[in-house]
Amino acid sequence: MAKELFIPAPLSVLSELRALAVEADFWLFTLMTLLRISLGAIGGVAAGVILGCLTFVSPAANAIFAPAVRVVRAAPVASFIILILLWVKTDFVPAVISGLMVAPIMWEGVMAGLGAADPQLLELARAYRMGRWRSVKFIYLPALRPHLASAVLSSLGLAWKSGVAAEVLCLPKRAVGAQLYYTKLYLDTPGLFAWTAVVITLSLIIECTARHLLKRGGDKK
Amino acid sequence: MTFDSVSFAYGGKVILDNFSLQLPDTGVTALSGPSGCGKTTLLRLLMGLARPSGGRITAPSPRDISMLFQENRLFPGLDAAAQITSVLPKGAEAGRWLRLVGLGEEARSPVTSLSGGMQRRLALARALAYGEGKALIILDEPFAGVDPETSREIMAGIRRMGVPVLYSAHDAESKALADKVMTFDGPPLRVRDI
Repeated sequence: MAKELFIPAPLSVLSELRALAVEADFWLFTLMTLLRISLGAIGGVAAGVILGCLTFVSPAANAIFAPAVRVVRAAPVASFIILILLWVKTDFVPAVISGLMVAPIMWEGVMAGLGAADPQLLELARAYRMGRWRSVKFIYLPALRPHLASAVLSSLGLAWKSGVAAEVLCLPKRAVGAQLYYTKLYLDTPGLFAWTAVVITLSLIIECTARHLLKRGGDKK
Repeated sequence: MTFDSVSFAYGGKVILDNFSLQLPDTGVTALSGPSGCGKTTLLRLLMGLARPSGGRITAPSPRDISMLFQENRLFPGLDAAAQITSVLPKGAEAGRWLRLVGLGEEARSPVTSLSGGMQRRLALARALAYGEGKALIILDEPFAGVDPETSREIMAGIRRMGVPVLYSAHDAESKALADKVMTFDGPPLRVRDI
């Protein structure tokens, strides 16, 4: 048993997982974590895209938001979790943290994508008086798409890690992160591994789904 | 259309130095000369895409000019017909212009499936479609990679449009399609023969 405290046997973890899977709470906690983090990630994607477009077209907005976004990227997640915990209800902290981690990556992706628009095509658009909407549709969007896809994929993993970390620190009622915290309290290492496996599995499923959706979206264009 | 003592430099290199020229504002005129002599710069200045450092250019408003660039500059991911309709008012048809350049059967073909010569003709079709009813059409190397027979047919179609055309050309066959050929040297650009 002493050995199980440090590294549990795979069979112990599997039996822990099996025991969890038959409990209704397990599915409820998993679903709630999934909802919180997905909501935060979607909000982060939207905020990052809007901010990116805004800072790309407006030097004034860039001067205001760019340093703030860089601070968010550089600051430790734990500092934000504690700070956000003071501002919003416990249940919303993981979503806000996930969004906060996703937004700067999306912002950077949008800036890189819009900056990658072919200058020769932009000159052509000016010469042919194509207008703003057509320039966006035929030049900026195709340039943006690969950068956006790569930003979404790389930010999803971070959304998961930071969202679960936020749950560990702020302990919402029904959350995978809270269960991870309790495994620490009760020195339940097989439980820790089992819940970690759940987080990793969910993260992989979401990443594969996002990859598939992005690929399908790209093929349709 | 006139260039009056126009100067222009790019990257520390003088392309036009106190250059003056009167260009015909009717018919089809070919500008000929060695690569890099400054023909493209002359066309870009006329289109208003570059600003001279000195002198005066009299030309139609850029709003009233269509230009085929030296590069095809086709939009990624669009088929041949959409390349044309993307620069035309909503609801405009591309078929007539595709047929003019011999690409009538390729309307739904993605750009990547077209050969280099076909892509050039597609870019030319787009410039012509946009140039209908304009005061001037500028074509930079329109027949690069296009066979002489097709070039002749396209030029016949361009003439039917009745819009003044200014184009740069290298080979004798392309030059022979013009009403008038102006030959240049440079840089800095100077007129060798009119």
